[in-house]
Amino acid sequence: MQEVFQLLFTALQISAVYILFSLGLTLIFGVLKVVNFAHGQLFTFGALVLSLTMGALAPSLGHGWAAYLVAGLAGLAACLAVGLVIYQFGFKRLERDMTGSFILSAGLVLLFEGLMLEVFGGAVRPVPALLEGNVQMLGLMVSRQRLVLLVFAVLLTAAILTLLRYTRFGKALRAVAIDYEAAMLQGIAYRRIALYGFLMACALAATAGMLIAPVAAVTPTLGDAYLVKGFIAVVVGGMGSIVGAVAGSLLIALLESFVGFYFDPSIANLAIFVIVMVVLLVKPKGFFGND
Amino acid sequence: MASDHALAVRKLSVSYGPVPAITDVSLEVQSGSIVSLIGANGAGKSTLIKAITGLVKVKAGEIAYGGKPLTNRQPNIILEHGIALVPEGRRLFGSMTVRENLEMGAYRIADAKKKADLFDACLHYFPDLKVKLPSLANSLSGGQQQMVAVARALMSAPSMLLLDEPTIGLAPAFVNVISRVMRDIHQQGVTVLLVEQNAEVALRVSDYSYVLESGAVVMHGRAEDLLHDPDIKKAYLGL
Ligand SMILES: Nc1ncnc2c1ncn2[C@@H]1O[C@H](COP(=O)(O)OP(=O)(O)O)[C@@H](O)[C@H]1O
Ligand SMILES: [Mg+2]
Repeated sequence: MQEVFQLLFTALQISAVYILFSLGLTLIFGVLKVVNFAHGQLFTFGALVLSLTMGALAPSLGHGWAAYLVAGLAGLAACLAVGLVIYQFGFKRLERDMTGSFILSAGLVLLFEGLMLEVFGGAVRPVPALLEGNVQMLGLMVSRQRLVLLVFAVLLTAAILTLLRYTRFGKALRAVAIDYEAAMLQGIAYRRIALYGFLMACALAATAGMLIAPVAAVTPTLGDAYLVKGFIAVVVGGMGSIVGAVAGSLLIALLESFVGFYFDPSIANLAIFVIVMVVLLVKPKGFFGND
Repeated sequence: MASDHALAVRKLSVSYGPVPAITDVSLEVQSGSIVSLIGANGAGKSTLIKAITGLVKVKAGEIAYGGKPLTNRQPNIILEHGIALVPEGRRLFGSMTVRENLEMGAYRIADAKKKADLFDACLHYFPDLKVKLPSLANSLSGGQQQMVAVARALMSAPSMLLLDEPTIGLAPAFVNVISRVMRDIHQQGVTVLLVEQNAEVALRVSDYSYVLESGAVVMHGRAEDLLHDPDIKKAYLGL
């Protein structure tokens, strides 16, 4: 039983990151109807900037909350700046252009990965633990740090979902995702919403990267695996569906932790791909995709 | 002057790629009138409406509303000038609730009181929608969806309403509701431009009418006169 709780906790932990990641992909798909395959690089970039800034801040601030907060803001700002540039000079011109945006984002993947390798080097850049020690919970020993990161990720996800569901901006964003022309006819400035949605997605990727940084091996390829999993989550859940992104992420994370534990991690990956195939055969638009 | 000709379209041409859809179309809608646009399928009615509302790019010609130039402006800017559209095929936000659809109609209205009043007015026009407010728009019947589409457009408090085939495929009961609301808002001073395939219906509700054929205006005049015109009778009224 304890084992199950432990696995559930792990699943929740991974899924929180997948959710933030796939919500970003969903937002971008919603406003521009393109897939940004370079989304994983923003995730990596956030983690790298965090690690670099924390290193620079260590002499003055140590590596407590203050340093983490400042470094987090730096990572966020850096990713937003990159996001703004790739939107203004790239994605803005390729809205609703699957082929063009595929070429652009594939190019950006190579460019960013090369640049990050060049600038940051290929070595692991550890981010110091934010909190030491464990807490006892439901008969489980959980690292304090993982717990805090999880709570933060869950709260952030809840905040994003609330924003999309209830605020004027969130509703405008959903309306644009459903039918951007009809949205403009209601007075919604589509271009502005698209920019904000894109930037929000970049911020989510950066945040997810920075949340995983203290418990992961931060290298210039950190985001690759998350992009694949996040993308699978989106496809299984239904491209463009917010609920779908959340459900897909949970499913992938559950498979990964349970199958990974009872069988082994490579079987888990296999299981994920089999599930994707089955889902796409039965429901080509994913669980919550509208046809 | 501005109040005389609410909407003025001059020598408008639109093409899709190399294929012209409308050519040199001119039309005027007087403030406070109901004008109808009739013509066969593919005549270019929707293209004209889309050009006015900024959904397609105008190749040549001008559009002005209340004396202000509106050619090739974004749809959201057109709405800010007071022109709302009930688009062909409704274009509701299907996975949003009826209430949210109406809220989106009032997107640019900041005043909460005004928004609440508009909301009440819409429910007064379409009392059947009251119980449907929490339902997803795509769960409604075609007729109910059309009522939502009209209500959504009215939520922006427009001074001019464009409707592109609002009654196509609807049961007579719904056609009556929509026609009645159209007359009501017209009485309150809203200018109406109505696209209808059913020429008889269009000519009976409107003051003035334009006939579009192959992307050009082939005839226009008082609706009453057109209703008795032998050519119109033959071509559009099936008499
Ligand atoms: N998006 C489009 N792309 C290419 N051609 C179009 C498009 N929309 C309409 N057309 C063409 O333009 C002409 C006018 O169409 P439309 O304005 O929809 O006519 P109506 O509303 O009177 O039925 C038709 O020949 C139609 O095939
Ligand atoms: Mg049409």
